Amino acid sequence: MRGLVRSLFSSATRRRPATLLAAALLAAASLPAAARAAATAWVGDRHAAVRLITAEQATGSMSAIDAGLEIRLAPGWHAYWRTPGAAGIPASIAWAGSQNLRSAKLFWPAPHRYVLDGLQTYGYERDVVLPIAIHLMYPGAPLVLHAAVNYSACKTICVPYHATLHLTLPAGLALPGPEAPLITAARRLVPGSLQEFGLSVLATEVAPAANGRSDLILRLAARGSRLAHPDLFVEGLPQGAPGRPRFTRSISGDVATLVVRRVHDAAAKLAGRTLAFTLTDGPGRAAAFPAAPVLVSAASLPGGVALPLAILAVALLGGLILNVMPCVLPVLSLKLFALTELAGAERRKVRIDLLTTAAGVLAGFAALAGGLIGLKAAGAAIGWGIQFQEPWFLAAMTMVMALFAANMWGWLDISLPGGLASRLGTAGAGSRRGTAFLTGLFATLLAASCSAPFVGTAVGFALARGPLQIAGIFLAMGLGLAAPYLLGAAAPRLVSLLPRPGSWMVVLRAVFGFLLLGTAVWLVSILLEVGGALPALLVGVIAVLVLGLLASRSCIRTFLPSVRRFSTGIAVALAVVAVFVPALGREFLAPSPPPTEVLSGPWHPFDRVAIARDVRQGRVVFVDVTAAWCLICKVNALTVLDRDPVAARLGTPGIVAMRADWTRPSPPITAYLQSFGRYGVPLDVVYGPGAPHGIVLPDLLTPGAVMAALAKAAALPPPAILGRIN
Amino acid sequence: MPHGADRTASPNREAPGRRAALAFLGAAFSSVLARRAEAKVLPLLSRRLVRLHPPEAPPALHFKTATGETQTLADFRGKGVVLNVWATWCVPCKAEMPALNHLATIVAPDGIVVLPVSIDTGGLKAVQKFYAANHIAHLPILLDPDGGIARALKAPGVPTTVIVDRKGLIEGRVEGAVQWDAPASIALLRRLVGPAE
Repeated sequence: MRGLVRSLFSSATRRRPATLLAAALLAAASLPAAARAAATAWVGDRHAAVRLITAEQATGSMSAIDAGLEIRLAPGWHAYWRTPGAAGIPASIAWAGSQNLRSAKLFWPAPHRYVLDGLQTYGYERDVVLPIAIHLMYPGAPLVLHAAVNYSACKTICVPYHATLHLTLPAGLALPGPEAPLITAARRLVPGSLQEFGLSVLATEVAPAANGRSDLILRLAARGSRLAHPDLFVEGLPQGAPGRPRFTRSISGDVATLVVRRVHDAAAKLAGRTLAFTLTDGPGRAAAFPAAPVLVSAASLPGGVALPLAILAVALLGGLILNVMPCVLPVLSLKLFALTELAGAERRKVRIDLLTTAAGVLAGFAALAGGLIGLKAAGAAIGWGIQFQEPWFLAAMTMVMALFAANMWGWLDISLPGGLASRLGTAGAGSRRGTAFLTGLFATLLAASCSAPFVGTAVGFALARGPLQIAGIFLAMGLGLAAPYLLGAAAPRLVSLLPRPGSWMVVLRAVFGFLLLGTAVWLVSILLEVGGALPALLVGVIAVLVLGLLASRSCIRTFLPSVRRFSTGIAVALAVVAVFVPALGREFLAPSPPPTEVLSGPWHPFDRVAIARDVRQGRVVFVDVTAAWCLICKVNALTVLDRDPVAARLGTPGIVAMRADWTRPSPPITAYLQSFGRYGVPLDVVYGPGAPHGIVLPDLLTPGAVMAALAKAAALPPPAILGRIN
Repeated sequence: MPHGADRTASPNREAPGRRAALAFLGAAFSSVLARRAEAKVLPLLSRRLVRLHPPEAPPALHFKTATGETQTLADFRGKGVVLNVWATWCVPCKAEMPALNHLATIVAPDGIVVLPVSIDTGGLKAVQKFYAANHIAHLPILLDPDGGIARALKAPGVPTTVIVDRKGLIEGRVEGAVQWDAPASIALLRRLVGPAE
C-alpha cells in the first residue's frame, strides 16, 4: 500500500553523478560490468534516497556476506531508528524474489535524538548505513537480492518512501568493493556490550513521581571509562517517547546515574517489565542491554521541599533512642560521670555544662549534615555512617578514645586536650566546657555507626532530599540526642539526684576507662577490615605508646616540668601521626585489595541480579546488608541470624542467604540500600515467590519477625504483598 | 507547488528593526522552551502559508468517513474548510493535531470546518488508536488510504493543508505543522475564508 502512497509524492529515481562517475571509472579499469555489483544505484529523490551495498564484489566461497542499506538524506531531513520515537516509519526490507538468500539480518547503528516540532524522535541525519548480515543458501553460487524497502523521512513535512533495489553478486573471487569501508564503519556504530564500554549496571529502578509519572533510574559503575554526554534510549515502554535523561555522576566519576522521566507510565506498570536500553556517549560509543527495573520508593530520588512535622518527630525520637545505643554509650558514660562530679555544684555551672554538651551534640550533627550535603552536591554516594568507611576517621577516633581513657585513669588532665580545645575555639571559658563540648561532638560522630529504630527512617528521608531537609532532620535528631542534657539544664535539680561524689568514683573511673579503651580496640578492629592489617597495627601500636607515655609521665612525679611538657608533646605528635598513617597507607603501604570475602555458614556473597532469578526458580532469598562497624548488625547476627531457629532455616536447601558487606565503600551495595530509601545499615530483606519485591525487616531483628517473613515469602500462590518500603 | 504563489506578508506592520528584535527574542525564547521543557512550539500560520493569487478551484478529490460514506469538498459548500492531509506515523502531523483539534472548537461558530484526511494504510483502526492516545475529540475521522487526495493536491508530503474559502476556492496552502490555535493564526484563517453570509 505504501508503494501507492509513494507514487503520489513526486519521487523521481535519480542517479547521483558521483555514482555514475565511479561506475564509469570502474568500467574504464576494464573490470567486467557484472563485477561492479557492490552497490545499486540510488533510488529516491532530492530529500532522501537509498541504495544497497555489499562489502564484496562477488560471493567467493563464503556463506556469509556483509551488506548494507545506505540512506542518504538532504540537510535537515531525518530517517528513523528501529524505534522511531514519537512517530516515524523505520526502514524495513522485504526480500521476496531474492535467490540463494538464506537469511538477512538488519543492524541498527546507535540513534541520535532529534526534537522535531517539540516531539522526541530517534534516528539519523545526512547519511547512514544499516549493516545487513546476509547468509547464503549455496556458498559460491551467485546471489540475487531483491529488496523492497519502506521507510519515511521527515523535515517540516514527512514523506513515505518505497524503493525496490536489485543487486546481483556473481560467483567468483570475493574482492572487497569500494563500499566495504562504509559497511565496516557502520558496524562500528552498532551498539556493543556494556563491558566493551567499561561499564556495568549497578541498578535499574523505577520510582513513582508526582501526578502518576515515574522515573526510570539507571545506575552504572564506570571503570576507567567516564561518561561525558550520555543519552539513553529505552524500548519496550507501553507508550510514549521519553526525552533526554537527567545525568549525574559521583565526584570520583565511578558511578553514573541516568534518570528518564516517564510522563505516561505509572511506576508499577514499568516494574519488572524487560526494557531494552541503548546508551550512547558520542560517536562510536554505544552499548545495548536489557534490564527489568525494580520498583523503589520515591524516597531514593530528590522530592519536594515540604518537611512534614511527622518526619521531624521521627528524627527527634530516633535521636533520643540513640542515647542508649551501644555505639554512643561509652562516650555518654563519660558525660554521666562528669555529671556526678557536678552533683553538688551550683545550678548555673551545671546548666552551662549541660548546654555546652548539647551544643557539642548539635555541632556534631551539623558537621555530619554539612559533610553529607557537600558530598551529595558533589555527586558522591552518601550514607549514614560512611565516615566509618574512612581509615583516617577510624584512626582519629581511636586516638580520641585512648586519650579519654587516659583521662579516666588520671594520666592526662583533659583540661589539656591541648590542641583540640583551642582549635575548637571554645577553650576560652575554661577547659571543662571544652571537654563537655567535645564529649557531645564525639558521641555524635560515633552515633552514626548505629541505625537505631526511627533513625533509619529519618536519615533515609533526609538524605534523599535537598540541603535544607537534610539540615532540618539532622538538627531534629541532634535535639533528640541532646534532649537529656537540655532536660537537665532546664531542671538542674535532677542532677542533684545523682549520687554524691565519693571513693566509689575511683573504681568507676577505672571501669569507664576500660570501656573507652574497649571502644578504641573496636575501632582498630574496624580499621583492620577497612584499611588493612598494617595501618591497624600501626595505629594500635601508637595508641599503646601514647598511653604508655602518659602513664609513665603521671607515675613518675619527679619528672621536671620541661620533661613532662616534652612527653605530652610527643604523645600529641604520635596521636597526630596515627591519624595520617591510614591515609598514607592508601598510597604506599600495602595497597591491599579487598580481602576475598570469606563467608561462613549458609552465607553467599551479595548478587543483586541473582535475586530475581532465584525467586523465579521458587527459592526464598534472604539478604543481610551489614558492616563491621555496625553494632546493631552484630547484635542481629549474634542474637538472631547465627542462632537457631533462623540459622537452621537459612541453611535449608530452598533458601539462599546473601550477605552484603558495606564495611568499605561499595557502590552496588549503596545503590541497593537506596533502592529501599535507606542510607545506612543494617538492612534485611526477604524475597520469595510470595514477595518478589521483598519484605523489609525492622532494624532490630527478632527470630519471630524473621521466621514469619521467611514463611510469608515462601508462600505460594503469591499473595499481594508489597515490600514494606521505608 | 502551484504557480503564482507567494508568501503573505506578516499581518503585523511594525518597523523592520522592531520586528527583527521581536523575532529574535521569540526565537531565543522558543528555543529555550524547546530545550528546557521541550514544549511544542509550532510556527504561526502566517509563517508557513503560501497564498494563491488568484484563488484556485480545488481539484476533484474525495475521502471516506469512519462509517464508509464518501465525501467531497462540495459537501461543505458555503463553509470555510481547513483540509489537512496527514498520517499517524508523521511527527509534524502528530505535533499539530492537538492544535487542529482545538481550532475546530474555536472556529465552529464561524462556519469553518476542519477536515483531517488520513492517508494511513492502516485506515480506520490506526486513526482511532491515534485519536484515543492523543485525546482528539473534536475532529472527524476521514480516510483516504490510497492517498488519492495527496496526489490530487500535488502534496510533496504530509502534513499538507489547504484553506478553502466560502466560495469553494483554495485561498492558500501550508506544508508542515502550524500552531493553528494561536490567536494570530485564527485571525488570519478567518480573513482567508471571508466573512460569513
